[in-house]
Amino acid sequence: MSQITVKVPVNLKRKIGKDNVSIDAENVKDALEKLESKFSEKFSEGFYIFFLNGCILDKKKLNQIKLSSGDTLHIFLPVGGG
Amino acid sequence: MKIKLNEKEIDVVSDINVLDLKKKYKPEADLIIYNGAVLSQVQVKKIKPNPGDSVVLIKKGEIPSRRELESLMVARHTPGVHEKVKKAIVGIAGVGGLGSHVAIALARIGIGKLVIADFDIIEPSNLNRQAFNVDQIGEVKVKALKENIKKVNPYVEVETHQIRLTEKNVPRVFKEVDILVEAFDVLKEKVMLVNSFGKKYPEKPIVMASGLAGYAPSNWIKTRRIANSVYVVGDMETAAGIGCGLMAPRVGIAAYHQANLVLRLILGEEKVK
Repeated sequence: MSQITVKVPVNLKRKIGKDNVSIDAENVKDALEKLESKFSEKFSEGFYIFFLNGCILDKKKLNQIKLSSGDTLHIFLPVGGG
Repeated sequence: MKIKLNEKEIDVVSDINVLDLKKKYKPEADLIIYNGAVLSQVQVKKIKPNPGDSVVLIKKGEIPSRRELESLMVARHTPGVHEKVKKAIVGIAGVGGLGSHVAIALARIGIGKLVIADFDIIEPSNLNRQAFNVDQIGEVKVKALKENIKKVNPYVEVETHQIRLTEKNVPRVFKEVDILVEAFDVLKEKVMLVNSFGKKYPEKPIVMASGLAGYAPSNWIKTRRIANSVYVVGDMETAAGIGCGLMAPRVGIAAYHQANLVLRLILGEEKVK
């Protein structure tokens, strides 16, 4: 288990009043499931972009991406319009 | 003495008047602009430039040659800047409110090549924000935009794709670009584009947009880096929707933020990590 920082998306930020949360997880999928359970938000659905330490993640391989302590997972939810 | 004639520094005799300049350098000119002011027929015979003055000779309707336009760009932007800008290839995914303005801005500064992609045609409701004209309603957006670009700068290379972009074709359509601008309206497509291009070309910058609807304060719109190679322009919150539609002023602010970031990336003022 690794302790990581999660930069939360705008919808969760409005809910919890914070930009970041800490979480212990083995891989990215594990981290998202724990967040979903804790905050009742569905990150497996919806239109999110995931970054780990600044790199775009392949959404189909989130269970294969192992985490290390100190990692930063950014869950980005853009909004429509353009 | 030295003066500027059509943005180029030249040596002239000290007592020459602007009419003689016209006769010597561009006898077919209809208009003479002296230090920013259009001269009358009477003034052209009387005015003699001083050192450092600017004279611009214009033949109405004449399209500058590639060389002339390039020398104007070099004079405005400096040679070093122009060299980089004219070599750059920029992709624009979606040519609606954002993309059409980004394309025009980059064309104005002499970008080397634009790769533009959109499946759509121009509808009347688009005109409140998109860089198209009333007589283009019903036309294919990428074709109409190419025409508009050519009217601004005929020497920009424009590759068009009338296509609905998907996860499968994005890497192929934009394989050549140095930088990709995300200019979609629909959220699902924004995410698809960033994921598919970012997966294939992780080292190439993506300039996306999020939160530019309505008429909230202009200064809420910012340019932010959110990942090693991904930037976002917008206020991150104001989604387009009922009661909060997309409108030219705010869309334009975001589009020009995107265009300026593209320029900064080309010039190395911003760098991918």
